[in-house]
Amino acid sequence: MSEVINSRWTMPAKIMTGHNPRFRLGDKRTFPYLSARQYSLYSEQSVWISAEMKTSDQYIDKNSFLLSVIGSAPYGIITIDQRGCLTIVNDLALEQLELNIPKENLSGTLVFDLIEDISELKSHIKKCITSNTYDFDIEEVALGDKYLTFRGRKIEDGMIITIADITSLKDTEYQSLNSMLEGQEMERKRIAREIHDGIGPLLSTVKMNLANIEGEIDHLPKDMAIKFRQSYQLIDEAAGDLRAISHNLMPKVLSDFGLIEALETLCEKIDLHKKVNVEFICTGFDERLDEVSELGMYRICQELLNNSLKHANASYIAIQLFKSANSVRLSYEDDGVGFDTNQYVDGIGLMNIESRVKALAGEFLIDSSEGKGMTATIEVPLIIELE
Amino acid sequence: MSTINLVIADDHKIFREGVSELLNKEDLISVVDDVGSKEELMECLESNNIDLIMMDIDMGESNGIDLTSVITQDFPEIKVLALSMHGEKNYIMKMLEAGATGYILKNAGKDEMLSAIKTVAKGDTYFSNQVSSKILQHLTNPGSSKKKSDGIPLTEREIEVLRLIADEYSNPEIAEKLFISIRTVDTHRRNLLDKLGVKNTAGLVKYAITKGLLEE
Repeated sequence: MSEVINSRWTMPAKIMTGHNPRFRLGDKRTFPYLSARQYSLYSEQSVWISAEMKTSDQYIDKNSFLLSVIGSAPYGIITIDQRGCLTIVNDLALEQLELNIPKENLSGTLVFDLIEDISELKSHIKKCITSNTYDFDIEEVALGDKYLTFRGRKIEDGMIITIADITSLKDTEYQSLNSMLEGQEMERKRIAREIHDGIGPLLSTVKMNLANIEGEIDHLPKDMAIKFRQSYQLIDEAAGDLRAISHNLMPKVLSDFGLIEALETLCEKIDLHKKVNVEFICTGFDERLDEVSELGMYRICQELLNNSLKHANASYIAIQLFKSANSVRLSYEDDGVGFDTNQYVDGIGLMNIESRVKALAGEFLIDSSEGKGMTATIEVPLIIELE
Repeated sequence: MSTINLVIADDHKIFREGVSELLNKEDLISVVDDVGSKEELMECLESNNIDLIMMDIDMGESNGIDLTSVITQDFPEIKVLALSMHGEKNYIMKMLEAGATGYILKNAGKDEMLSAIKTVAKGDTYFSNQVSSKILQHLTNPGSSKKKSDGIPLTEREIEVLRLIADEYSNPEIAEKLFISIRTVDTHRRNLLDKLGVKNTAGLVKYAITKGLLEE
C-alpha cells in the first residue's frame, strides 16, 4: 500500500512549484515542470541521448556541445555558483535584461548586479542560495515594455536561471481578452438599444392607449374594471423592470455624462437603498476618459460594489479615482468581513475584475484578511491619442 | 383659459400618436403636430403658433437637452415640458439648465400629464414626485464628493495612515499595524500625496500637523 502511494507521489506529473509571497489572482495554476529535487532524482530519464550521439566527438567534448546548446537555446540562461557569482551567461539573457555590458566584464560579477531593478527575482535567488529552497518560478515580470518569466533551479554547486520573453504571449492574451469583452459589451449595447427603442416605447404606448380607455371603464362591470386597473399597474411594473434591465446592460448615464457622473449615480442609488455609507471621491478629473476605459472602470466598480454588498456585509465603502496624465487609479475600500486572499482566488467576481483589468493592461492588487475589510487598487494606463 | 397649442417631439411615432390621441380628447388642449426630429420640430415652430413642447430627451440623432437650449434661446415664449424615460438626476438637472420648466416621466398617468401641461403652459413649473425628490436631493447634496466640509475629504483609513506616517512609522510598520500589505500602504500614501497635492512625506506631515490630526 505504502508503495503505491509512494509511486504516486513521485510521479513526475504536474507539480506545483514556485512560491509567490505577493498575492496575485490567476497565479494558482500548476506548472508542468519538475522541481529541482525531482530533477536530481530523474536526471537519467529526463534527457534522452541517442547511442550515436554518445559515441560522437561532440558528446565526448561535452563542454563545447553544452555551450552551443546554451548559446542557441531560445531562452536567456544564467548560471551562478553558490555565492551568486555568474558562471555562464548567454547573449539572449543580456539582451532580455537590457544590459549593455561587454561580456569580458562579467567575470566576478554577482548576479544581483545584473538584476538590480527586479527585486522579486533578487530575493528569490537569495533565498535559494542561502536556504533549502530548491527552485522558483516568477511569472510575468514587467521590464521596460517586455514581460519576462524567470525560472530558477538548483544545480550542482549553484543554480540555473532561465528567462523567457512572454511579451507576445501577453499581447495576444490582451487582444483576445479585449475582443471577448468588446463583443460582450457590444451585444449588451445592442440589447439595451433594442429595449430602449423597441419594447420600451411600445409599452409606453400600450399604457397611453389604456389611459385613453380609462375614462370609459365606469361603463364596465365591476370585475372587468378591476381587471383593467390591474393590467394598467402591471404595465407600469413591466416598464420599470425593463428600464432596470436596460440600465444594467448599458447605463446610459455613462455614455451620456461620463464615468464620474455615472459612478455618483450608482453610489447614490446604493446609499439610498441599503444601509451602507458610500463615499465617492475623485481627484484630477477635468475631462472624460476614453470610452473603453470608462466602461471598464465602471464595470470594475460595479463588481467591487456587488462583492461588498453581497458578501462582505460592509457598512462603509470608499471609492476613489485618481487621474494623472497617463493613468487612472481606482482605490476601493470597504469595512466588511474581509477574506483570506489565498482562498478566494477563484471567486467569479474577482476573476471578472481581473480580466477587465488585464484587458485594460492595468494592474490589480487586492488586500484583505478576515475581519479586516478589504482594499483593492487598480491602476490602468490611459490611451494616449496620437496626433 | 384659452386652448394650449402643443407639439410632441419624440422619435417614436407610435408613442407620439398614443399621446396625441389621449390629449386631443381634452377640450383645452390642441395637439398641433407631432415630430420626430430637430428639423421637423424647427419647421413646425416656424409655421405655427406653439405654446408648449413636450420634449423627449433621447431622440435618436437629436438630443432633447441641446434642442431645449436652442428653443429657449430662439423662442423664449415657448414652454418646454420634458417627457422622458430617464429619472436620473443628471438628466433632470441638464434639462432644467437647458430651460425646461417641467419634467415628467413616461410612466406618468393621464391626470399627471394633463396637470403638468396646464401648469407649465401657465408659466409655472411642474415636476413629478420622483423628479422633485431628485432635485431636492441634488440641492441638499450636490455631488457626494463634497460631503466633508473642511476641504479635502480623506477616508478613515487614510487618516489612520497619515497619522502613522506623521508618527514616523515606516511603510512596513504601518502595514503590520493595520494588517494590510506594504503595497496597499503605498497606495494609501500615493492617494494622500495626490489628494493633498504635496510632493513628499514632509508635505504629508505638515498637513497632518496643520489639521491637528496628531493630537489624539
